[in-house]
Amino acid sequence: MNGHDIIYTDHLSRSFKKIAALRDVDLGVQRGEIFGLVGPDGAGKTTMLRLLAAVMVPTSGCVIVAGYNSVKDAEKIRTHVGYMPQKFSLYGDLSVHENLEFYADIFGVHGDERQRRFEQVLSFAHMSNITDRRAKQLSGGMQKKLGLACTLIHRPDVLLLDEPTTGVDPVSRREFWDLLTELHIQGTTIVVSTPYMDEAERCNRIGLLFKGELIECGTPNEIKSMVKGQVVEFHPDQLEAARSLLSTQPGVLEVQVYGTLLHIFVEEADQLWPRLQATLHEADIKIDAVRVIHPRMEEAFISLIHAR
Amino acid sequence: MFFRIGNLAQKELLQLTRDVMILVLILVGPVLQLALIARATTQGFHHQPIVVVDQDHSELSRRIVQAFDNTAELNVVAFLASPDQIDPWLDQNRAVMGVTIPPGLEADLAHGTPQIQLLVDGSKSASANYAIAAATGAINSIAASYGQTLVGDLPLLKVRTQVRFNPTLNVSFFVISAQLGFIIYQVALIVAALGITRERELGTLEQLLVTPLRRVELIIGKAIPAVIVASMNFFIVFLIVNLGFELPMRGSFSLLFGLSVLFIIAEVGWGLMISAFSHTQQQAVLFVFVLAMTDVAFSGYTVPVERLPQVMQWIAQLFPFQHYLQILRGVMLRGADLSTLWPQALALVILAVASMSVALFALRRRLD
Repeated sequence: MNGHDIIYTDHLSRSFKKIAALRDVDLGVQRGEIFGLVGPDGAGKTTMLRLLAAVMVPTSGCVIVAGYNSVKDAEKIRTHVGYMPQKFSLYGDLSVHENLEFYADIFGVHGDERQRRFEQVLSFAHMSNITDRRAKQLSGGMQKKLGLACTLIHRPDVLLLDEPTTGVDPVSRREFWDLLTELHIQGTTIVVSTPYMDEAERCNRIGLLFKGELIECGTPNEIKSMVKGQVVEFHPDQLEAARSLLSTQPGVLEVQVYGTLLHIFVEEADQLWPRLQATLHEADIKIDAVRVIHPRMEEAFISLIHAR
Repeated sequence: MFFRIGNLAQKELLQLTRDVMILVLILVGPVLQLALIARATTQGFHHQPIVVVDQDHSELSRRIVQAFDNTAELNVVAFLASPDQIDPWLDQNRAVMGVTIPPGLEADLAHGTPQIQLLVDGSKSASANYAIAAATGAINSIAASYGQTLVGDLPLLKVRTQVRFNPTLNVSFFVISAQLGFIIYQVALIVAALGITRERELGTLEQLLVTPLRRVELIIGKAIPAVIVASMNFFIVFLIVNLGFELPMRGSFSLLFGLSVLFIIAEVGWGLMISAFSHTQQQAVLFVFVLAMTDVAFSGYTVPVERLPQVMQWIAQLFPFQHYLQILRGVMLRGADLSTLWPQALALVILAVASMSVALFALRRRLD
């Protein structure tokens, strides 16, 4: 750990019956950063966040949030943390305002402060003019924003968000991230899990979870530079033939179709590309518009997992 | 702490008023059920046809036949010449009962052993019972004027008891009081069982668990609305039963209400236990359904508890419903107070504490 870490875990493990969901994770999140947890489904992202939120007890190791141990001081952690589960739901039959009131009640937000916070979170979530609407009548994106507003009502220092934008349209997704950025600027520490690589790129640092282990941790650029591979983009005249031909070639990690273009992800473009070109030529496939591009987060992610 | 429990309970009640289906289930359903069942049981056995063989042709026998015909339940449709003519009437469903008044009835009265024979179709036990009860009542009313009872030899009829507490032998009192108990039972169980299960199904439960709300507070906050709703239900159904169906209230209302709340708490405990084991509301409702059938079987509603095998009688003691029905009938029909009802009241106290404790324990484990 280092002195700036508001969250850290020490050899954190959690098993369900015999299956290990998290193994020996040492994670540190600095105060004020947006930390992204990425990884395929079942990698342990939700388990990680639930452990951090002190809703789950570790099998071994420990979690410290804002100086409190998640087992001994779970109640204290709850006043510092706002946790939005993946399946976050509001009370659909209650109005926007009633939902907020309920969480304010439970978190003990009273007096003048209460009204001020309502106005704050409502204007923050752009919902000031629809406070009487029933939560179930809101769109998916709006519901997520109201969920965030409810999570923010007690002004947590740390925000834990489990795939908050899954199943939300791109515009609402962007709006949601604008809200997160605003909170980040105000100094809130945010840990967010996401399956979207473009969201991962917006984080200060990201942690890559795979099969219950934290395999890499660093800034998006650090993660991308860990990847030696390159992406070659080109336009073949026979898309399907080129795709099936190249995907079986040694050294090719992945082949993806982007419209009429093919992206092939290779470890060493300089060495491999001439051979692949020859193979394509033999198969009588003509290509043009060839260019080598740097791998994006998505390719970095895939390559790091392949390396395992 | 109390504020948070209150907040949760308040939210819960607010949600109940928004959920039209639940409201229908809680308020309209029971009332409808009560009305239908009460109508069916009282109307179904009215004016049942009976046939009479009067071999005495005396003043007394004529009065008896007249008395039968005057009851709401019985309707004399034919006079037959001999007892062996009765069978075809019963076989062809043209009559539910044949009455034979033997020769010399009035004369025998002086010797003290007059006998009137009632012949009923045992395969229709319900209507037969009602017919026997009505006939017995009619005969007894006449006997009373002679200063004795004529039906001492008829087995199964505790005539004296029935006459005292239910002089008109209105059998539907029995059914309606059971139904009153059952409605409160259902409502307490359903509201309690669905409270936590609904949050689990919607995903709001995990959200609640990260708030400062403690587990115990959550459970109590969910129990209170169920107790409130079921108590309100008691008032409504009691009024309907008392005013609409003229079920008497001979005892103290506050005693009955107090014991009803105790019963409701015991059932809410059962409901919370169900919510500890159910993943969805659907499952919870199924559990309630199965539990309700068991409860009814052990309640004396269909078979008197004393007639169950010994082991089952012991098991029956564990179900609050059975004790509550005794209290309900005791207070309403007999005007009983705690001096006679204390065993049932004590049983309810024990069962309420027990079911709440088990529910707390099971739910706390389940929530962690």
